[in-house]
Amino acid sequence: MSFLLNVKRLLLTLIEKYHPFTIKYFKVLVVIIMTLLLGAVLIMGWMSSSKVKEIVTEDFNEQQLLVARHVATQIENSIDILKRELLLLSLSPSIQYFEIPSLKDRMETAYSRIAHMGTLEIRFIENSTKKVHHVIENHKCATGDIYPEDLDYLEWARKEENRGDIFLTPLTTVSYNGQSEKPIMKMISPVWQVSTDEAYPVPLNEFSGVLVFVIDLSHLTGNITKDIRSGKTGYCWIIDGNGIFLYHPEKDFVGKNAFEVRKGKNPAISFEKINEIQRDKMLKGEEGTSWYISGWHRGIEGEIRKLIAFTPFKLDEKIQNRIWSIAVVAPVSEVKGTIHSIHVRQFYLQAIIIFVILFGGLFINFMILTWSNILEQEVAKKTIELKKSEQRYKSLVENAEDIIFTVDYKGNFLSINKYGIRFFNRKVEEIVGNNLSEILSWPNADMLLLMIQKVFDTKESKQITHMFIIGDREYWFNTNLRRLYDEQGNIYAVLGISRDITERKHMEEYSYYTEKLASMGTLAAGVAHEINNPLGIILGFTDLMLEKATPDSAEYDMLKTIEKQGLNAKRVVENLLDFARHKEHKEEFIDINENIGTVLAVMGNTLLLKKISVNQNLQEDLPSVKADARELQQVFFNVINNSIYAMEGGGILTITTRSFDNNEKIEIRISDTGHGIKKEHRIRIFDPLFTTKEVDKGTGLGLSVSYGIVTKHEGSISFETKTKEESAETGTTFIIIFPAVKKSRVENKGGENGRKDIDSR
Amino acid sequence: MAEKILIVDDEPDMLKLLSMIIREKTPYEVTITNNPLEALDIARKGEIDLVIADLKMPGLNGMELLDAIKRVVENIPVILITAYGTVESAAETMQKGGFDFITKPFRKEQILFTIDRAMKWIQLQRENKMLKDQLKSKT
Repeated sequence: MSFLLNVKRLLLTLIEKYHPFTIKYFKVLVVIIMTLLLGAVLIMGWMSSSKVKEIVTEDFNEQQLLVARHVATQIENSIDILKRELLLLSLSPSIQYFEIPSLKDRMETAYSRIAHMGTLEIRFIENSTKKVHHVIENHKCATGDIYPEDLDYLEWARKEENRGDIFLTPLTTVSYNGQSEKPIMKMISPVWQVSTDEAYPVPLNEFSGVLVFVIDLSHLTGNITKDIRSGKTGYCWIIDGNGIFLYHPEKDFVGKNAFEVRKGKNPAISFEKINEIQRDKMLKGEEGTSWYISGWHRGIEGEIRKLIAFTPFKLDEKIQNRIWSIAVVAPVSEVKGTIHSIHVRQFYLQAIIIFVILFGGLFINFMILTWSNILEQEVAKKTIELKKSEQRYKSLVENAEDIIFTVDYKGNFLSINKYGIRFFNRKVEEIVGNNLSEILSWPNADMLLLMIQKVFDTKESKQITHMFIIGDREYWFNTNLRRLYDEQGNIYAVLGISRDITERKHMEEYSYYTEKLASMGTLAAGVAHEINNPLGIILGFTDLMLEKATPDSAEYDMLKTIEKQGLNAKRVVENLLDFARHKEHKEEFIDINENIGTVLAVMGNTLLLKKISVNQNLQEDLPSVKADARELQQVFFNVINNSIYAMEGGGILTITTRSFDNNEKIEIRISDTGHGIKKEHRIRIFDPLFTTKEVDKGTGLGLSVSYGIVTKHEGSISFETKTKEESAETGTTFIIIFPAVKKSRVENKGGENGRKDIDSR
Repeated sequence: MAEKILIVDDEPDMLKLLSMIIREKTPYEVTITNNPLEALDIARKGEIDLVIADLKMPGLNGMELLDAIKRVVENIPVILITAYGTVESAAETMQKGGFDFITKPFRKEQILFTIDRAMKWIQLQRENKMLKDQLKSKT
C-alpha cells in the first residue's frame, strides 16, 4: 500500500513538475513524437523499399533461374533427340550393311531431320573399307577419305564394351567449312550389324563402323537460347566445363574462354565477380542466383550491374568436366520498372502517412494553441474575476462599518481595516505590529487578549460584547473572533470583526425606557382615575364645610389647607392623565418658530426676572410640522422652564431651529448654561414623577409629559449635558426632532379645505 | 311641589356629597340609590324629574342606564358624571340624549349650574306642554 502511495505521490509530483498543460513541454513532446513518427515512417519506408528491391530481385532471379532450368531441359531434350537419331541411324540396316544408295538416302534423311539442331555433318566410317560417307549442309551424301581422328573413333567403337554406347567428344573449336570458329562436339556411336533386312535376314553381328554427328554447339544451344528474353533485354549464355562460351549473344565470344574474352573486350572493367561466380559455382555444377558487373548489354557499353541465375547441365554423368552451365542474365534495370512502380505506390503511401502525421501534428499544435488561448483567456477572465472579487472583498473589508482586524497569539495586530484606523484615530503603522494593550486601555485589552487566546486554544469562535474607551467616550462593541488557517491547516491568526453597537446599546436602553414610560403611563392613568373619585369627594365636602366655617377660625384654616393639598393632588392627576395621552388632540400645520415665539413671550417676565438672556437662531423658511400647537407649546414651556431652573443666578438660553435631511426633519435645540444634569439623574429625567426640584416646585411630570407629546408626534427628544465635573462650560442642551411636512404638501393642502381634510381624519 | 332629583352612584360617599350639595343649595327633593337597576324602577314610577348618574358603575353603567330610562320615561333629563378625560364617552352621552355631563372632580358650582339649567329646561318643557294642551282644548 505504502509503495502504491509512494508511486502515486511521485506521479503527482511529476505531473505537477511537467504539467501536460505546460504548453512548452507539450509542444516539445508533440515535436519529438512527430519526428520519431516521421523517422519511423522513413526508416520503414527505406527498409520496405530495400526489402521490396530484394524480393523483386530475388523474384526476378528466381524467374531467371526457371528460365535457365527450362533452357537446360531444352538442351537436354535436344541432346536426347540427337542421341536417339544417332541410335536410330546406327540401327539402320542400310548403314550396317553399307547398302548404297539406301545408305546415302538414309543419311541424307537423318541429316535433314537434325540439321536445324546445329548438326554440321553426319559421317559414317566403314570399318572394313575405311571409307567415309558424310553429309554436310547443302550437299548430297558423298564418300571420301578417312580423317586421322576417325581411326581413333573406330578403335573406340570396335571395343565390345562400348557397343550401344554414345561417346561425346570434348569440345573443340574449329573453323568449319571456312566459317568462323565454332564450338564443335562430336557424337560417336559404334555400328554393329544387328539389324535385318531382305539381304540379311539374319544379322551378321559384326562390327560395321562408326557413326559420327558433328554438332555445332553454338547452333544447338543458340536455337534454344537466342529467343530467350529475361525481362525485356535479359539473355542467356552457356559455358562448358572449361569455361568456353557455347553460346553468347555477343557472337565473338562463342568458342572463347569466358575468363579471358571479357577482359579482352573491356579491360577497364573488373570482372572479378563474374569470374568468381563462374569459377566457384558454375564450373562446379552448382545452381544459384547472384549479380555481377558487366561491361555491356545488347550493344550498350559501360558498367552495368546484372542479375544472374545459373543452372548446370550435366552432359555426361560419368565424366567430370562434362558440365555445362546455363546462365540467364539481365541488367538490374529490368527490375527497376517493377520496383519503381512499387516505390511510387510506397511513396504515395508514405506521403499520405507523412501528411497525416504532419497534419496531425499541426492539428494538435493548433488545438494546443487554441486550447492554450482558451486557457489563457479563461485564466485572464478568472484573473479579472479574482481581482474583482478580491477588490470586492477588499472594498468590503475596507469600507465595512465594522473594525476588521487580525491578531496573532500575543495580541499583536497583523492587519486592520480603514474603519478601524479611523476609529482609533491612528496611523496604520501605529497599529499594525503593535500590541492590543498599546492601542486599548486596560482592562479592555487584557479581556480581549484573553478571549483571543481562548479562540486560539479552543478552536471555537467567540462573540463578545465589550467596551472601548477612546478619549472620554465609551464605545460598546460586539466582537466576533474566529480562527484563520493557512494552507497547511495551522492557525496563524484570529480574525476579529467588531461592530460598534454603542448606538444600539443606547437604543436598547432607550426602548427599554420608552417601554417603561408607556407602562408607567398606563399605570398612572389608572391611578389617576381611581384617585379622581375620592379626590372629588374630599374636595366637595371641604368646599361644603368651608362655607359653614367662620373665615377666621382655625377650622377654616385647616379646611383651606385640605382644599389646597387636594387641589395639588388634582393637578398632579391632571398632569398624569396628560402624560398618559388621554387628552383631546388636535393636529394642524404649525410653524415651530412662531410657537417658540409664543412661549418665549409668555415666559418673558420670568426670564427677565431670572436674569436670563435669550439667543434665538431660528432658521427662516422652516418647514411646517403637523402637530397640536398647544401641546408643542407645552413641550417648549416645560423644557425652557427646566432650563430656567437650572440657571439659578442667570445665564444664556439659546434656541436654535433648523431643518435637515433634505427638509424632511426639523431640529430644535434648547441650550442653557446651567449646572448640567448629574450623571445619576440622566437616566431618570424622563421618568414621570422624577424631579430634582423642591417638593412644591415641580410635579416631576414636565419632561415625561413632554416626552409623551414628542413621541406622539413621531419625534424624538434627547439631551446633551455637562456638569462642572466634566467640563468648564456646563449646561444642558435638549434636542427635539420632528418630522417636517413637505412644503409642497402644505401648499397644496393649504387653505380651509386642506385644513378640514386633515382635521376630519 | 318641589322637583325630584334621582342620584345614582355606586359610591355611597359620592351620593352623600351630591345629596348634601343639592339639599343645601337647592329646593329640590333628592332620592338616592347606589343600585342602577333600582334607579330604573324609581324612574319608571314617574315621580322623578331629573337623573344624575355616574358613568362608571357595576351592573348597569351610566350609559346603559341612560338608554333604559329614555325608553321608559320620555323627556327626563339625565346628567352623567364622567371621569376626567373620557371625552369620547361624554360625546356619546350627548348623542344618546343625555342632558349634559360633568367631569370628575367637579366643583359644586359646576353641578349646581348644570342642575339649574336642567330645571329651566324642564320648566320650558312643561310650559310648552301646557300651552299645547290649552291650544288643543280650545280647538
